[in-house]
Amino acid sequence: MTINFWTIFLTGLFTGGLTCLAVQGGLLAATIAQQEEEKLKEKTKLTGNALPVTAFLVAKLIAYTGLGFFLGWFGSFFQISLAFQVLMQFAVVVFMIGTALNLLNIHPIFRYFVIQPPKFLTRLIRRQSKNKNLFAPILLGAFTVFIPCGTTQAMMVLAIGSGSPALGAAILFAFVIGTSPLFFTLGYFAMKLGDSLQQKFMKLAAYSLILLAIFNLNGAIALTGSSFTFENIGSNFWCYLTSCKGNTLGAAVTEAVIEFNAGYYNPSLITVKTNSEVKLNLVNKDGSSCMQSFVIPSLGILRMVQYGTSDIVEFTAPKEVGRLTFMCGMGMYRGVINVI
Amino acid sequence: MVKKVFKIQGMHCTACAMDIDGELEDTEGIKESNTNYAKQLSEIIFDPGKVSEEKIRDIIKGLGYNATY
Repeated sequence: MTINFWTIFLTGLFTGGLTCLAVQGGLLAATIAQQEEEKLKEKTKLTGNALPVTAFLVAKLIAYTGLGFFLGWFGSFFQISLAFQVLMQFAVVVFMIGTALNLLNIHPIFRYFVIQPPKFLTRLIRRQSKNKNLFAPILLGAFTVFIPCGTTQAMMVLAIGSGSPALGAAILFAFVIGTSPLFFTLGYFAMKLGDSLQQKFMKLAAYSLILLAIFNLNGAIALTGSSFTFENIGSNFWCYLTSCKGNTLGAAVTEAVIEFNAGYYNPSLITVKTNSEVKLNLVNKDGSSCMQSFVIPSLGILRMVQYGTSDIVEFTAPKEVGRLTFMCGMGMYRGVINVI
Repeated sequence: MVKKVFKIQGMHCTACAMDIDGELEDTEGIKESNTNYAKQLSEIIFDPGKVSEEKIRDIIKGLGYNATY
């Protein structure tokens, strides 16, 4: 998860100077120009652009974090069944890859992955940029949620896919924070990035989007109950090379306590006998966001265990020897039930 | 008033479309401009007595895009 947020932040960092944000910068520059005019009329001292640009960025950050919260909340309604969750995770992956391929200019068809905001909104925002009001930069910053460009839309979809208000808010917060340094610089000096530099940034943004999509794809694959996640393929390959004996197995149990901690399960490995009745006591001690849903894909088990609560899951172990994977609602955090 | 469709090159995202429409609609003689990012086209309604096609093309060029009609 730490890596994920870093990737989101980096994606923001690279997109901070792209045309879409340069347009927002242009609008901001227009607003600042209006204010400068007012100031000249009032014969007050020029204070530079730092204040309006900062006000704009802070308003934007708050607006997007709020939007992320709302999108995550909206996404939580799709967590009604495992099938829906898997479907949504795959849809997020497709959207992100489509956006990345559009940035890389692979084929005109990928332009359709970018949703164009309706005309009345863009007109409203443009009119706002001509406002002389002192709060104009703040309003403009907040209004930019209505004109998200491709990469931002991909992040919004990721926030929906997170299925949690807190996680959705964190995703858009990390992204907008990432876009801020370059945006501040460009806004302060009222300039645009050169074409070749913009091309480079666009490519970097596309690659980090693809990286994020791969993280999500891995989670989606895990959620389907398939064992072909990248980690599993990697460790199988490693075992093939080193002829390892696999994980050390504990004694088979019929009842176990699984604690949800921040980012990991304790224990993350339990052993049960084939065809035995198993009782799992799920105790959510410190598992926020997607950890609040507990999933065993291959058994079709999906259970909501809110932060600080506990629940019991009972099932009959499969008749065949093998491995069952249990995980959080996004397939990010995982553990194994060994069936012997 | 006439309606003409211009082909635009060089738009990176939907905000570019917004930029073009905003700038054109602020121009005397242009009533409406609808730019579609996915199709890379601008549908422009204007008064040829007040603004020429060349002038429109120059405005779009000034924003950093290429326009043909």
